[in-house]
This record gives sequence, C-alpha cells and structure tokens, in this order.
Amino acid sequence: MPINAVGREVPSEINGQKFKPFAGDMKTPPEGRRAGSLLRMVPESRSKVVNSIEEVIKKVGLEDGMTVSFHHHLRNGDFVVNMVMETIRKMGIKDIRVFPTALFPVHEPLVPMLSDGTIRRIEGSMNGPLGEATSYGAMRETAVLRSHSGRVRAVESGEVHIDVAFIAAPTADPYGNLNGVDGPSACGPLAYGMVDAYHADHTVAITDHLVPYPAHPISIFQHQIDYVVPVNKIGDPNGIMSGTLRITTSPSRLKIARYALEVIDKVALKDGFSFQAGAGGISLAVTKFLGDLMKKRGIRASFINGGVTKYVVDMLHEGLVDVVFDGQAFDLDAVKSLKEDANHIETPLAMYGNPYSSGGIVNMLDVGVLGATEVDIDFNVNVNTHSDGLLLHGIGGHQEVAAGSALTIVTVPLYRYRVPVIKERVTTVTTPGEVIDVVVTEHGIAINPKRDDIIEAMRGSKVPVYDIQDLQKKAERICGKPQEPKTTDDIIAAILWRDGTIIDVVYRVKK
Amino acid sequence: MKLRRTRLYVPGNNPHLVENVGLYGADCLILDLEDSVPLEQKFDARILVKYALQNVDFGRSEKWVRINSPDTPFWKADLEEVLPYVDVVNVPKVESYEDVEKISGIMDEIEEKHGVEKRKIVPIIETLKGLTNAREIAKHPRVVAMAWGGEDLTAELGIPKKKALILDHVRAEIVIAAKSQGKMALDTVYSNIRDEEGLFEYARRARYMGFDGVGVLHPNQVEVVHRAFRPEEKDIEEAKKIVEAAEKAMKEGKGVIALNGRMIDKPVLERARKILAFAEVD
Amino acid sequence: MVKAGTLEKGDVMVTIEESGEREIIIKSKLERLYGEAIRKTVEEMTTDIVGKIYVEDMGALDWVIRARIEAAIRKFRGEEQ
Repeated sequence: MPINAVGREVPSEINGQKFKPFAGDMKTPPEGRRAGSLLRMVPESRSKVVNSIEEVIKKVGLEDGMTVSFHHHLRNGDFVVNMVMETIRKMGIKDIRVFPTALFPVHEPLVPMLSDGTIRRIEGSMNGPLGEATSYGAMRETAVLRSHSGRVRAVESGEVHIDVAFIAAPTADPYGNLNGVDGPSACGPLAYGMVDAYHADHTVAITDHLVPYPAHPISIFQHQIDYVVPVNKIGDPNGIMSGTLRITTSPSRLKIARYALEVIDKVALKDGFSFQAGAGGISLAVTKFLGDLMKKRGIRASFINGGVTKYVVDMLHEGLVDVVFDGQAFDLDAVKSLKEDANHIETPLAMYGNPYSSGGIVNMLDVGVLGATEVDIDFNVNVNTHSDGLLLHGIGGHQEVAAGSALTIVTVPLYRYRVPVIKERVTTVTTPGEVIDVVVTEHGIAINPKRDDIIEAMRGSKVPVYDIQDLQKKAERICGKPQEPKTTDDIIAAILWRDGTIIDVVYRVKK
Repeated sequence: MKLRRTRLYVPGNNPHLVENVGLYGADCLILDLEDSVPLEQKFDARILVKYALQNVDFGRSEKWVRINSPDTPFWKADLEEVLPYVDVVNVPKVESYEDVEKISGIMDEIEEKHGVEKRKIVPIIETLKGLTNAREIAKHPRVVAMAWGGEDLTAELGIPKKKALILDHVRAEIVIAAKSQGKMALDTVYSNIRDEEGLFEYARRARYMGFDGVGVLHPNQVEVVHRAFRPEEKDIEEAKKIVEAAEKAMKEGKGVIALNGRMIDKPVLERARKILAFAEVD
Repeated sequence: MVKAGTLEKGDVMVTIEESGEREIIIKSKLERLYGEAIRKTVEEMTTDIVGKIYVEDMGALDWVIRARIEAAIRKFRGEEQ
C-alpha cells in the first residue's frame, strides 16, 4: 500500500473504487466535468404530494444496491433517516448505500440494518453508536468519511452518485419549495441538502409543515424536488435545537479561550477581518470574548461564517459584523435571525470550501478556531477516532476551515480525563499539520514552526509559548503513557481529504 | 518580595479541581480541608491533599493548606499528613497566641521527624475573642500574615453579614495588628464570583484599607484582583527611578541616596520596592 | 467493608471487603487505555491485603488512584482518625 504525504499507509482501492493517496492540500488537481442527474419531466399535476414513504419509494423505483442520501440539519432530533430506512427494510430492499451528511446517536436503529442485509455501507459522518458498531466490524463494506465540502465534491465529480435524496423539510409547499426557518421542526438553513437536491436522480421532500403554494422564503426550489411526503413529525425540536448554548464555565476551558483570544488579537484582529464560529463550549467562549474585545476596540468584522448561535446573532445586531454566512443554525435565535435579517445569508454547502470549485467562503476566512480529539507533534489533527481507536465522530467542516483560514487555531485541553490530547502520533489523521498554525491548550500554546510571522507576533505576549514536543511530554508526564489501541488489519473506514484523496484509514477494533 | 495578592481556595477532596490549580496564576493556593470537606470525607481528603502537594504542578504559587480549626479533633491529623509538603498552614478560628503556640508545637515535632524547615502560619481571625487578641497573635514568629472571616463574628453579634457596619472596623484591626508587627494583612473573599466589577472595587478598597491581598473562590477572580492591586503607572515610574538611584548609590559606595536633589530615606525606598513588586517589575 | 474516594469526574472509588481470598476487580471508563496501568498500581500498593479489592475508576490520574488506595487500606486496617 502507498504511503501518503502524512506518512500513513493507505489503500488505492476502497469498495472497488480507485482513490489516490493524500499528496498535500491543493496538490491533486481535478479531472473531468461536473456530474449530472437524470433529466426528468413531471406530469401536468399541480401537486407532488405522495401520502406515504412506502408509496414514494415505489414511485422512485428504489432497488437493491442503490444509494440514498440525507442531510443532518435536524441533528440528534431527526426522525427522517430512521423512518425512511425502516420502510426500506420492511419493503425488503437490500444492499443500500446510505449517504448522509451526518448521523447521530438518534440513528442507532440503523445498527441492526448493517447486519440484516439492508445496508451494505454508510458513507458519511457517524457520531456515536453507528461509528462504534462500525469500529467493531458491523458494516459489510468499508465506510467512507468526507468533510462537508469533500462530500459536495464527491457528488459534483460523480465519485458518489445519489439515486434518491430524502430531504427533511421543516416547511414545504405541495409543489416542492422548501425552507428550514418555519414549522414545528425549524432548523434554520437547508444548506446541507442543496447539493443532493441538485444532483440526485430522484428527490423526495419529507415535511411536517405543508403550507399553501408558494412557500416562502425558499431555500430549495421546486424544480429540483420530485415528490413531497407529509408526515406527522420529522423531528424532535429538543434534539434539533440546542436550547440556549452556554459558554463553558470550566476555568481551564476558559483559560484556553482566553489564550486563543490573545493569539487572534496579536495576529489577526483588525477592522474588516473575518472568522469561523462554532457551537462547542470553547468556540462559543472565543466568539463571545472576541465580540467583547471588538466592542472595546471599536473593530468591526466583515463576516462570520457559522455555525450560527445567539452569540453570533448578537454581534450582528450590535453592528459588530456586517454579514453572517449560515450553513448551520444551532439555536432559535439563529433561526429567527436567518428569517428576518437581510445580512444573515443562507449559504449552499457548495459555496463552503470545495477545492474543486471557483472558490469557497473558507478562502476568505482570516481566523478559524477548531477543536480536536487529538493533535500530534507534527500538528496533525484527529477529530474522528478516540485514542482507543473507536470511530466516534465525523469530520464536519474541519478540513476546509483549517485549509482556508489564514490563521487556523486548534483549541484543546492538554488531556481529557486521563487521556493525553497532544500525542506523538494521532490515532487517525483527519487534517494535516501543514494547515494548522497554532495549538492552544490551558497550559500554553504551540506555534507551527513554519509560521515565523506568528512566532514573531507572539513575542512579548503573556501567553506561554512552548514547542509542541514539550506540550506532548507534559501531557504524558501528567497522564502516563496510554496503551496502544488493540486493532486488527481490517480497514473499516477511509478518511478522505476534501479533494478525495485518502488521508488515513481506520482499523477494526478488537472487542 | 513574596506577593500574596490572591489566595485561591480549592476544595481538598475534589481531584478534578485540584489537578489544574497551578494554571491560574494565584499567588497562593489553599487546598482546603475545612469548610469545603464534609465530615465523612476528612480522612480521604487529607490523604488526597498529601498526594496532590507532591504530584500537582503548583507553578509559581505558594502551597497552602487550610487545616481544621484547633477546636476540632482533626487538626493534628491534618498536620501529620500534609505538613512536610506545604509552605503555609492556614489555621481557622484562631483565638489566642496560645492557639498558635499549641499548633506550632505539634509542627515542631513533625518538622523534626521529617527533617524539614519551619513552616509558616497564617491564622484566620473569626471571633470577637480572636479579634481582641489579634495584636498578640500577630507577634508569633511563625505568623507571616493575618487573615480574617466575618461569618462567625457577625453571628456572634447577631447581625446580618451583608449589613454589618462593624466589619470595616474589624478590617482596620486586622491591618493594624499585622502591620504593626511587620506582617502581611489579608482580606477575606468576595463571594459573588460572577461580578467582576464588584470584585475589582472590593479589591481596590482592600488595598486602600492597607491589605496585601484578598481571598478568591474562583480562578477567574485571580486576574481581576491582580489588576486591582497593580499600582498606578506614575507611581511605578517614580519607584523605578528611586530604586535605580539606590542601586547607583550602592554601587558608588555612597551612604546617601539622592533623587532630583531630594534625599531618599529607607521607608521611601522600601515603599518603592513594594510598588515594583506589585507591578510585577523585576 | 471500607470505601475511599468518590464517583465524580476524575476521581476513583476504592472498596475493600473482608474476604479469605485476595481478589482485585477493576472497572474503568478508560479500561482500553489505562487498564494495565491501573492494575499495576493497585497490585503494587495492595500486596499485603487479603480481601476483595474493588476499584471503580472515573478517569483518575495515577496519583489520585494512589491516594484513594492508601486511604482505603488505612481504613481497612482501622487507622482512620
């Protein structure tokens, strides 16, 4: 097997499909043309409403071996994936490739379908039980994980062809105009579903809020939607929305946020700058502190790319930022603002960070603050597996935000419980060290040696600056060296870089 | 000069809170065996604290342990377990010089047994009796600073703590008792951990009352208090000049220090050194 | 039976029960990463104990485990003050 640019041995074929080894960001140029969906003609009816999922599956002609897709705007409150997959199972359709943007613990009912023949593989993020089951070898074929933008690229390039896209729609009209800002299961934007709506051969909207034609606003337009299926409930609002997200109260996590803020201040803070926001505890704290600092200094940001939360919306309303780009909303304040504020813009995922496009939002980012489960002394980041080898998280937008941002900061505690986070070698490489600039821990920061400018800018700061090796040793001194994960040689998942090259693989874990 | 602007209280039986104490930059860290530890955990706590003192990185912070008060059955066992590993023993509810002497005697035995240097004591005055004896207590050679707490005092007087006007007098007594013996005076905690502005004002007031520091309950309070204790810029500049002049005079072997034609005497030089210490200027 | 420690995050609960036989049971959320290290510490510190030693770990650092074992052993020997 070839060794890729981050020193990992990777196969050249996964599930019978050829893949190149990772060669570095923007080092593998694209080939060919955009792939397309079936041309189709709808009958002269003024309604696309179909009354059940079973009926719609028959209408689209779903067969054994086909690929179905889902978006994850309803997160851990989603009912649609389970509803559709359960119907497919009952109808006796086999060997399905499931192609979600992400799955969550709520999708645990899919676990038995991995072994009963319904699902042959999942290509997408698996947060929690599905990832764990896959780690132990439950999936017949090999899982493929892509970042948000990598998934868009895979669809546009034809690497993955979607037969049927099932699109959860918090609001729909009978002719297939959809939005996510109204209805009992409102989630904000429908950004993740847009590329599927455009590229799938068949498209089915599933809604619990059918409104008279035309629905408005419109996120996904009628000419891309074949059928609309009304159901009782598409999700549980408590799982869709996070409630009021609270800034971390942990003193050590707050310390990390303060150090990250200091780095941003010294390196990137200026009028018209831009940053990526998120919903993790540290990320929220950084956003909040940054807002406070900007107010104090009279600095205004040109845009925030979200991960939109109340804290981002507050900054928009206070005039601290000109525009909010929204690919995902985390609370009801974000949903309300998306609906009402003209400078709060829903962005299709294709605009986010696809390297094989004419340029994404991430290319315009000055600052990206990201998390990680592990970081190593080469600055490689792992967000997918835990140190015991279990695949428990998706990639999200980590790769493209890291690659695009002029200043990429990874905020992590030195260790969690007893487990070192800064390691000699990450269990799995999700994002290569070449696109990571600063690692911030509660003990101090480490700067990627190739960023002389940042090293220079941080001179004279009160933030302790360490070599990353020293942070690694410190973590090991406090925690002790953990045992190596007990894995076999079977590859259970491939981690793709956003350009479709293989950056790493995940091995089956012994029970 | 040793600063004790902040002393952060950490519950002694909570490993998760104890393991990161060195990160917060408090001048002193108090691993608490008293109020934050329930009776049935006293035994576990003192052993945990013993291990913490030897294994956790305290950074530049002074290591304190608050033992149980002399009127409980626990204080002796507390000392036997932890004394060899601490810098300062914080003793609650001290009421007399004899109380300190009693504790000091046991400390002598333990220090001898382990072959370690003499540890310091910071008594906490919490009763009217303790207050009347404060000036005597401050004389004890092990005592490096005087601290106080208002809970028991106000209960003794039957007045609500928040409204107790007498506490300013108590503060003054503590400062006078300590300073007249050349010891430090340490104010009590500000309990609203979310109110940064209130804390800043509180610490400023403590400073102008003559205190050298205040107690803190949350790591976030440390930086605010340090800011409140930072001298004014013009005083720092003036102090730098005085200390420079003194060093120059010393180098030139002159007995008299002069700055801008004015003679600098010893208390002025001492004050200048203290200002630089509080400004964290080396 | 004696207990030391708690089941809070980052702590460990050590229980020692009277028994004619020496037996060590370890349950840890970090079994796969620190199971061997925890066992080593427990074995090393309890060589003299004949009894059933039960360790429930919530991600404690080694010094915390040691402190809790020492507390449990001393209680087991009736040395609690």
